Amino acid sequence: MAGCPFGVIERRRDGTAAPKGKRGERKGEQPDVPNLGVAQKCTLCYDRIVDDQTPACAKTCPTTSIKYGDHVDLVALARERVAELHDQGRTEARLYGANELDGVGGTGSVFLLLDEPEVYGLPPDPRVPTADLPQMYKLAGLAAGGMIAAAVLSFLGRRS
Amino acid sequence: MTTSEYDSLRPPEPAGRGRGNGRRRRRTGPGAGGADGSREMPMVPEAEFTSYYGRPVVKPAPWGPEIGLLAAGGQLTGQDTLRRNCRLAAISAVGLGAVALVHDLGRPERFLNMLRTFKLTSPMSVGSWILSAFSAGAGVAAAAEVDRMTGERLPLGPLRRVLRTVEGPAGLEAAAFAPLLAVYTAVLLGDTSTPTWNHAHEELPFVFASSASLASAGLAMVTTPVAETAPARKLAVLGVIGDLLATRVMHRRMDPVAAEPLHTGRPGQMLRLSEALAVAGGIGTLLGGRRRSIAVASGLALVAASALTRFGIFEAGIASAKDPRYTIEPQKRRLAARRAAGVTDDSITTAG
Repeated sequence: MAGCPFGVIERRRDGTAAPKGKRGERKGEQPDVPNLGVAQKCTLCYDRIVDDQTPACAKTCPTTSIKYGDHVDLVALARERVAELHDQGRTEARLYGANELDGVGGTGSVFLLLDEPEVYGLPPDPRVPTADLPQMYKLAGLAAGGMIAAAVLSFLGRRS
Repeated sequence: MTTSEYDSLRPPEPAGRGRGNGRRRRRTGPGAGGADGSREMPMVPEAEFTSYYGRPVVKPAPWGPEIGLLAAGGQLTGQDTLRRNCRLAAISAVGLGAVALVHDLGRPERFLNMLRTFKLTSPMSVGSWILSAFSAGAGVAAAAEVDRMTGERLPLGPLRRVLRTVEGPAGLEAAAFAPLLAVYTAVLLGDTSTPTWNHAHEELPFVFASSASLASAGLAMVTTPVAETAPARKLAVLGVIGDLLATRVMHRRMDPVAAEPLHTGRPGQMLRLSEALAVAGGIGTLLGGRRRSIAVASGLALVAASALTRFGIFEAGIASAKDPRYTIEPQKRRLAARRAAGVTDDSITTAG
């Protein structure tokens, strides 16, 4: 959302992020084309949510591993489940993305993992690159200033 | 011998293994053979680092290498021929960059869409505005030069006086945006999750700024007679020194695994060649920059060095995104370092 150069991704009232709807778009008319060869963000099946249904992945999940609901409730549920697993001796159980102090401010979907995150294809210590952006702009400004200084120096040196 | 009625449903055993063949075959690799019970088979494959089925953890950025072409010549205010050639070179370079960017976006109107908003949090948005601002100034200055070269034959009418008046300020405006244009791609690359670019985000602007300086100076040395290129020669030498320093500092400060793609494979070759060309161009400029032939050769070497730097760093980033190792190992090290320093509350994994 922060990095979108077109500024068209917005956060909806229910907390989901999606491209701004086109004018005249009606309920349930979001295009359901999963692969156009371009970046597509999960909209949590927005067309289903507005009709008071759960996202298709949660609805069809045969093991009910995918759950849909309010973030707070789901995190509480996940914590309970981890405690339960720990009591069963499965001490490798852990949560991924439930910590708001991490490099990405907590993830929208929290995962319950039974191994290191990278085993599931998740980065072990992600950091939002935009967090370093102010510092990057400062350094870039410094570098640009250095370039101007070098150019000015080149011309001044000639005159003297 | 059949031990189960379902054995008949098994696929046939691979031929040429074990007895009855009369010929021995070389084992093709670890784990090959042994399926016939002739030797012990490892039941668990060798443990080595892997991710989820070897899938990359971060996506390779879908940009073409064209974006590296945005190395635009710095606008210089000097002698007549130098000024003319630099202005023309600047508009050509930025034109090429803009064409490459539009090609990369797929449709020209997408560039206009990017100008519908200005977002500081998106380096691409900021870059679009920098590119536009630079192009505007460089375009006016170049138009004035073309007009002068054609003996004032462009059908401008009364606009010619306007052009003459704004030519100077436009050139200066372009000059103000030129360094920003040179460094914005560094921020653009640094502000991604592509490991090699992200880990270089502190040093990349300096590498790109020096690289752009030596490239623009090199281009001026190629196009302009030596009598007027004294400033360009100085800028070239400063650029080479800056480039070597910044690259060294970058390599030293980066995580060793994240920096690996900069040393290996094709990107590694490109960057080594780039450094050799920059050094050769710098020495050529310093020792023989007053001789036209040497100046042209050095200038070409410098331009090639800059292009190779950009493409090398670009390709190293793409390579680093394709192998999950470059994402995971530096991150694990970063996390371990924070834990060792006593910071334990910011891990993304929690025990409940």
